[in-house]
Amino acid sequence: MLSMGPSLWQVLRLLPEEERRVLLAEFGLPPDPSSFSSAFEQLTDLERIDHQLDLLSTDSRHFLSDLLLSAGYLSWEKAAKRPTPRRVLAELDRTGFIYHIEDRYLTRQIALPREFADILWTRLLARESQELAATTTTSRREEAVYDASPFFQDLFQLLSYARVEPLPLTRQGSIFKRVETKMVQKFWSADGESGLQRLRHLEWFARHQALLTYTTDTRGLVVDEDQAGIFFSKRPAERHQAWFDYGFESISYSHLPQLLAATAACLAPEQWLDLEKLRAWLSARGVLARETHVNLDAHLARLREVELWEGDRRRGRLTDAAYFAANGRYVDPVPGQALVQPTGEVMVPPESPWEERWAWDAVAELVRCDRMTVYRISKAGLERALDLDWQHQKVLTLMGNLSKSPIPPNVRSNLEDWLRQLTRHRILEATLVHSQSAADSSQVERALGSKVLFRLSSTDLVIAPGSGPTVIRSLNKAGIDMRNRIERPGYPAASSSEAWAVYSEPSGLTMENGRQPMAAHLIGLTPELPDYQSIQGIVSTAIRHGRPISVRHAPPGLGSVVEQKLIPYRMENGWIQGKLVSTPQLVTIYFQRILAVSEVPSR
Amino acid sequence: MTLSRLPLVVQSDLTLLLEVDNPLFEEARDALVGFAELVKSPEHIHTYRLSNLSIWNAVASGLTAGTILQRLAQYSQYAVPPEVETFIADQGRRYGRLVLQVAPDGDGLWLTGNDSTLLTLIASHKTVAPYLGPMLAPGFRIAPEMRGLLKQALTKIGWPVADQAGFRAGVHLPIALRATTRCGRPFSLRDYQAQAVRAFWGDGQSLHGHGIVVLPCGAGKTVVGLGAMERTQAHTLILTTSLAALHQWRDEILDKTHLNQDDIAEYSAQKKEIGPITLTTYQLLSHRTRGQFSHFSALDAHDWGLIIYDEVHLLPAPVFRLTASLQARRRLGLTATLIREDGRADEVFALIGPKRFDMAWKQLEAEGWIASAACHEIRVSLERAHRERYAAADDPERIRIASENPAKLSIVETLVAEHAEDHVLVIGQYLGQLEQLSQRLQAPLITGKTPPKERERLYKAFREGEIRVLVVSKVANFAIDLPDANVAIQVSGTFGSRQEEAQRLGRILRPKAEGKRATFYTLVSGETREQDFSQKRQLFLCEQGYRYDVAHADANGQPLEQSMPRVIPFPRVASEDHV
Repeated sequence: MLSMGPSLWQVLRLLPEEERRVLLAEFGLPPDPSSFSSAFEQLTDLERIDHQLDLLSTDSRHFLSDLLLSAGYLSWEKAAKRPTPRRVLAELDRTGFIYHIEDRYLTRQIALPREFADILWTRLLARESQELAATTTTSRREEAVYDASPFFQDLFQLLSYARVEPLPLTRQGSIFKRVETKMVQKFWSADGESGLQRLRHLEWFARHQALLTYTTDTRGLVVDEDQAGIFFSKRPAERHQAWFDYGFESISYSHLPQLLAATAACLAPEQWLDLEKLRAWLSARGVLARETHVNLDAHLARLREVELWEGDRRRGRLTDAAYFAANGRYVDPVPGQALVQPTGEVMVPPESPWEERWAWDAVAELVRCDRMTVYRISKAGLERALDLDWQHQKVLTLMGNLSKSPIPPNVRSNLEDWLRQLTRHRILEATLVHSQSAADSSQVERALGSKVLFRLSSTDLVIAPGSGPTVIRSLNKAGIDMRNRIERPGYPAASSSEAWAVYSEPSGLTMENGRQPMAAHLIGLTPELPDYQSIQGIVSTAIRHGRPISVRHAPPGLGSVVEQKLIPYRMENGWIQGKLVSTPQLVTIYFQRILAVSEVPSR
Repeated sequence: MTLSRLPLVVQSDLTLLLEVDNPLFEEARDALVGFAELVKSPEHIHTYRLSNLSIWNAVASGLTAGTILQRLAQYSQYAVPPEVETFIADQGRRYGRLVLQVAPDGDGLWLTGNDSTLLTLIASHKTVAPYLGPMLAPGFRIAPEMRGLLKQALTKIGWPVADQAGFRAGVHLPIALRATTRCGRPFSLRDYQAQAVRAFWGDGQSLHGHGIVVLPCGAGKTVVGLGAMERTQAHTLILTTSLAALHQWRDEILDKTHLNQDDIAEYSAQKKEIGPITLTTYQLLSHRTRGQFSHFSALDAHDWGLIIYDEVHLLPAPVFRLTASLQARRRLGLTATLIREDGRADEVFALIGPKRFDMAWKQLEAEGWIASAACHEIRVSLERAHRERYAAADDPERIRIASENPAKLSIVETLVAEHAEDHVLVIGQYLGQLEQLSQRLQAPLITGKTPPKERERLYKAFREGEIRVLVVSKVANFAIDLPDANVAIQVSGTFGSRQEEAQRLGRILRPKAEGKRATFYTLVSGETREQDFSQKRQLFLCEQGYRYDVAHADANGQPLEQSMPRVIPFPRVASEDHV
């Protein structure tokens, strides 16, 4: 559980050749890298550790416990101030428990590798920890931790959800409220604020473990199938360590949360820590003096948020799952325990390994995550299996392997029928290079090489989605000219008036800034000679009285004349501005494009 | 570490999952009976549910919240969730805080309790207040006709009342069961039937004497009714679903009790007699003349000691309201499937009474009390022209096209020929289809239009073996006793009705001579809405542990081997291909 100090592997690798040779020789190992794992095993062997501890003097034991309370590091300066430092360090040097570490700034420290932390804490500080127990006790609900503890159950639910549809993100990067509420309702006995808090921790934990990743448009979070697969196939202890590590990541990089958890882990299951006694002890051991920037309550609050801690202001302890995980008491995962009922329900007990649950999640609909997790085999539930391109035989074999009993025949038949139905037709969105003839298409295929995914027909080639611009460039380079656009047949072609609506009526007063296509061509207009004086008269009268006018004009780039009714409100030398009568839109029309203006008769 | 397995899993949503393949299964099942309702009992894991009603009933029968929790903990593989503990403790405390008694001065009833705050609370509740009479400290006087409605309202707001006002004894009628039936067969209640009667009757006091007994079709619910009548020893009103069912009850009473023809009256469209044992139908009871339930009034005027509701899941809505005013009488509901497609099962509980007894179908099958049955679903392809019609039709028409798939006809012929030695019922929904089948199979047809006398003649002929194949519409779904029928072929049905499917299977579940197995076929058009409905229809039976074998047939009615095509692969694109 404790992840303080450097890793022993790291230390062994960093040792100079000469010292490494000496260390390996002590264990009777040849001086080559293959001996590392043997040396590691021997160094961390529990019997050896106990034996070494028995040989230590009280001062050395005290030194080690102080090292633990200092999060595995102690400066040489502080070590030198301790009683009989030379003797203690010489004694400890022989145990292989401590090492001299220099970091990149040449800070010199004595370090205790993390692999020794848990065991040394239990051997050296357990008795002191137990003296901090409160007088009241409460028995635990379980006797060991199931891999499917509440934190991981809810994490699983979050990932299961994100596997089906992305978790949509707001502009601030948080999950949409409605999805949060939906998720919280599914959670294991958490609701309201506590549920939301849990969701946020789960989301961060999942991101921390790279289980969630952004969608391509970064507007949502989806599951990284590979990472999730790896995560769920880890051993329970590794997975729980990830939880501890996340929980211990505290404000100001303090190690106090780890010390609190380690102290609480030494109690008997039913005991609580008396927080007053704990405070006094930490103070006496100098821990609080080092941790002046954050108080104990803030750390406990954080641990409580991540569901490692329970209790009140007077007493506290590790939650059931955290306590048993910290003491390595896991219920062994038992594979192949799920039961498929003729109703199509799948019952997955908590001792089923997570990787199996994750597999069930790909082929069935999650109904309820609880002590017994319930899935339903349904048409909708098969969607993910199809997304993964699993063939029906794979689905059936997988289900068979994960189940304690054979799949009931009706469920099997349904599965086969559904798979047959669902895979008969699929909607594929593809980008095609369509050519006029088979010969042209062959030429394109040769030019594109590996950029062609496959040939769809004699005149159609499928290319990767989004690769259109590259393909156009490649073909142009290869001397095959083509239009520089990707067409989308099936979309209704915009009629000329619609196109006009889009391009010819600039909104607001942005026309003068040059960003609109003002410099378009005039095509084929019948020459008319408008009477600008009369136009100006009509417009100014209309502005004065707030009356509408009808304007015939040739908008830029359109090549035809349109007539619009508007209420003008401003006229300058070169243009008039007004509000369209039909839509609440402002337009600017240049005099040079106006053909005629007339008053609109009042009704 | 590995833990030895206990059979029970208590879920935080108040469901209890009981593993069948566990040495402690039976012991745990017996422990749950008193406070949890059996919801479903498929092959591997049975599901029970805790509800406020089940906890109140348990407390009413003498269990405490502590005992319930202790039983759960004893058999639970994982720790009982804290929210379940809280729920049981909370609901356990609620029952008995309010008591309904006969008023001390004998004028009506008295709702009382020791908790004055609670009395104030319920008095201010707008759903309860209308049923409360004037103050009668501590509590309120209650008009007898408000008894049912008040209890229903209090139940809805979570404060169940312990009804100690008792039931009317009814006019005394000596009723004794025969040791040998009139037909000469030895007769006694089977163990489970006796248990059901005990569960209904309890100690004869007001805590019991009302409620529902759920037993599979063919398990002898009528006999449970007779057992209840024997306990009551009073005039009894029996409500049935049809005239044919009414006559079956009459025959059973005459066969298995010492009552004679004069003791039994028929209140039907044909006859309007009221006697010590009166049989009537729901249809008649809910019949209105000028807005009044005239027949109900006539029947209500009699001093019944017991009212039996046969096939209580079919209780029509008007009868719900009438039942609310019958709270002073003992009430027994009988059903095989307490599923109401209108979702009003809770109201049945509130007005008739709680479920008193339930038994898994497969348990009765294992003990030989109902026939074992093999269920088959045959998915029949639609012929091309019909498939095209189906594709172009709107939803209701689609169901009809799928249900009336002509390919089903030849399959029925084949099945009937294969079961040449059996008694076959062909059951369907659509008259046209049934008429065609009747002609092709040369078998008589019973529908709603068939006169009652003709129906009974045909049922009798079928029972006596004169007719081997009978084509029936949904009129034969319920309460028709055809003991020798051992094959049922369902050609069409009412959408996704679970209870219809179960009732139809129930027609062939009477134990057969020489332990012969019953066979149930359901024919559905493959890859149509009918197949989807079929999934839903089968759910109840699957929950009872029945398994369906699925076979396929082509549009000519010939067996079809389905091959699995490869999943059309979606072109996977390596990331470097993206631009």
